[in-house]
Amino acid sequence: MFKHIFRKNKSESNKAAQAVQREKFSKDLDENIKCVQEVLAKCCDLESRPIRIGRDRQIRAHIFFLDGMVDSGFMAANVLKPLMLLDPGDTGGPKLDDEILNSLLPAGTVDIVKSPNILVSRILSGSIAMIIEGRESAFAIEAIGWQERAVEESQTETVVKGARSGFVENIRVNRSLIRRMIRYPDLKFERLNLGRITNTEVNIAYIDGIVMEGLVEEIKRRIAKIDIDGVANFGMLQEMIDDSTFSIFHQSYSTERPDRACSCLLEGRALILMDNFPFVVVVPSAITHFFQSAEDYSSKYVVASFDRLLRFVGLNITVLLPGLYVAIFSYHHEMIPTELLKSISQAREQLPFPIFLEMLVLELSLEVLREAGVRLPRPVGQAVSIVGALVIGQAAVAARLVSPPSIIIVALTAIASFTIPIPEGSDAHRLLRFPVLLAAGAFGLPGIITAWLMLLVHLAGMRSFGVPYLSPISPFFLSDWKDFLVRVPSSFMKKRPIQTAKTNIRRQGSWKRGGK
Amino acid sequence: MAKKVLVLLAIIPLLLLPGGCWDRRETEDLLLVDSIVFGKPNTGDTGQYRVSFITTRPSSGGGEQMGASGEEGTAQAATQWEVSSYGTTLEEAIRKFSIRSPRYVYLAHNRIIMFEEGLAKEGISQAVDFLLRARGTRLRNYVLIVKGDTPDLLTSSPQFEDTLAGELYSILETSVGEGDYYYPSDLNIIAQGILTNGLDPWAPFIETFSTDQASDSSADQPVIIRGTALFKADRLVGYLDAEETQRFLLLKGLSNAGYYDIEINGRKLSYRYEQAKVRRRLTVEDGRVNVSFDVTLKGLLEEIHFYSNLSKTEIASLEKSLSAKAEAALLGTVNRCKELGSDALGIGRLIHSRKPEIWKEYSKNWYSIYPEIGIEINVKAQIAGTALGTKPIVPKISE
Repeated sequence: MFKHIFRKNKSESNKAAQAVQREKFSKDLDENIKCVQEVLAKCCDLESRPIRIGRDRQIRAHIFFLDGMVDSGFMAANVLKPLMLLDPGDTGGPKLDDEILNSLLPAGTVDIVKSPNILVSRILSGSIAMIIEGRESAFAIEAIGWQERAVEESQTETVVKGARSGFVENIRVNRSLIRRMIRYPDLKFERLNLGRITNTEVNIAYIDGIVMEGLVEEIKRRIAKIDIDGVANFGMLQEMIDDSTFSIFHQSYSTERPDRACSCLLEGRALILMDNFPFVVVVPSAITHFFQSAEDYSSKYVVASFDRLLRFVGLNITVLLPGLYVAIFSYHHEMIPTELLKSISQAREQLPFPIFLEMLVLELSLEVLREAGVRLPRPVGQAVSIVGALVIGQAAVAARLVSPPSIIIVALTAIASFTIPIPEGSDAHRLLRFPVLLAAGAFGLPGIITAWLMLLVHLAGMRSFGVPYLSPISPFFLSDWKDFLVRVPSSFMKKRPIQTAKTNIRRQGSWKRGGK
Repeated sequence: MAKKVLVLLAIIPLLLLPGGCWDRRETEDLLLVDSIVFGKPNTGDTGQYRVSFITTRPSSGGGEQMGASGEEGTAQAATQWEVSSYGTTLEEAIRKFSIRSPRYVYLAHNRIIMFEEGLAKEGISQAVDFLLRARGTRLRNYVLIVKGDTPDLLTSSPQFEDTLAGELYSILETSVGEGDYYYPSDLNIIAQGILTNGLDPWAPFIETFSTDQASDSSADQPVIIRGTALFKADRLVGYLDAEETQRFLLLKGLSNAGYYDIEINGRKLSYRYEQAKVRRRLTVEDGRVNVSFDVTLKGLLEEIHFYSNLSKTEIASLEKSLSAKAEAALLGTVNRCKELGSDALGIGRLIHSRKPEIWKEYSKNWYSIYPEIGIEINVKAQIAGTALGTKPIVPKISE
């Protein structure tokens, strides 16, 4: 049954690609116009107009473009005006094409296209198409002029000190943002297309000579394997190229910051850029990324190291604290200082639910609040947070449904989860606390230890494009620890990460620090 | 893979169902025992034990409340619940109590173990054996001896803290420093003392404080630590008062602060030492073992009731008389221990460690040899200064 359904879907999806039937232009202009109009039938944004060009305006031509995709001012000044007003010097011989191409059109990118298929795809990506009477070819003049967002500060990875620019939706701008930081001929952008229908542009960026050996080929292989109509989000792409699909962790991570992306390039990693998405995907990724923030490199190494250790503590709090609280307070009362036990048991006096259930409900309601918070329209946001914080939180304590210590634990967990700088990391860890909580409620501390060990085994077995996910912890590389839980002064980081830059490890020459 | 996921999904509800079947206990289901008192019933039935528990009863208000609303906002202090239970064994007495207790009797947070004088005189080894076997109790639990009757103790009320056990615990915790009139002893010290040949246990003792001036309501009687109880093996043999305790702790090396007052021509002088060094020596003369304690004290003159210009020679003579006074006091304490037959000072251990071959003979009947051992005290009291003043104040009008 499934086979049948799959087969049916396949044939349907192929239909769209077959819509453009004609492979070649004919000599007849009207037929060519009809052909393009047929393919783009029922597209109300298709604009077309006939024009006359050449000496004495004798030659008929036709122009197609999509409304909103092209810059109309640019079109008028650089396409229509020269064509309609200037003299090509030829009445219609084979030289006319050259004349138009070489001296009439001041636009940057002008191509002669031989097939209607390609012409349509150029129209769809923001070109002006011009078909001239009596020619088996057409002109595609690039005049992209759609509305887009300017380069703004990154929303997901904000820093106090650091570059303010963030990636935008336009892949060309993103490329330029990277290029501006690395002005080096060996910085390569290789182009691929993804999606039969969406035809999304995907770029692989890397620095030749530094990039991990075989990485680019492997990325290309994995992307080429994907057979899909369209990729609606870069997360889908991430998932489709991940090594372990079923893991809770992404084996690549995305960043919105060009500076971060560039430092990854210099470490021997590769970037995957995707058109229409203001994020680039970094591969291979490792556990070190959970603790690194762009901020670290603009603050002094002591401060940066302290912050990293804080993030490590924050990560552990996120995953373990609710579980530890439940385990210790329902199984291991011996471990608690007497005064603390007394105050907690006093606070829990006459509460209806066991501590495990209480924590489970509170943690779930925190997730509900968080999820609702993402979607709240801004005007009601404040009202809802008051309801969430005051009414639910305080009233629940006053009504003796939950105890104040549990609220503290939940709040601490929520805050700690935001110390992890990359969303991929914090999302995974936020979820991991539920299995840990479950294990703690069922088995106490042995349960937590088992859950933790299972997580470690999973992490240690995972790879991202051949690089062990837990490196530099396991396998152990001392030199990579310089930029992991602590950050040593920049002048001491003379080497690139061993796993990603195997062949070109040296990053700094032997030089003496300033003042020496 | 799908199979794996299914198995994982099946495990989750299975985990929840037996969740905590083994020993999960909510904190509010625990009866936190703060102190256990072991004693004998008043009826004179010798085969019986009385075990009393001092526990904290959590306040019904639930401790702190955020709401300032009238009914709920009042934070009630925790109160104590004291209860006694009887049995032919200690275990039976505790079992009987746990049957009638509304909550699970939880001993792991017990902080003070008390032995009533009557039981202590008969021997505490059975009780200590029970405590060492019990899962809940800790070696770090403080041990106190109750001079007088347990019921008197249980009816007396704490003066400052919420519960009696809490008050005694705080007193013991803050013992080190000022005066050093007592020093906490714990279950570990008691157990070592009972088991080690040549070392006897000791513990502070408490008494219900009742003076004639105290209010007649017995519920207001405070409990205070009076001094140190000395044991011979596992039996209580006598008490040292606060002054003697100070000397005793000095010789044991547990204290290094204290006072000596001397009188010169009927006028008083108070000396406080803040540094003390004790060196223990062992000499053998004609087969007789002599133990000597060389004590060096360093301190200040705190109070002088007579005029003196405190010249070097005068200070030297004051030092001499202070040394003599301290020597006599320390010797008095040593003799008191000898009289009681308790080797809490660990003279036997000293001989054992320094002269094992002699100890081999002595160990067989140590308690008969112990009073015969010559103990010598040499004190060198040094006056390091005269505190903040120099010469004493002289009234303008002389008598």
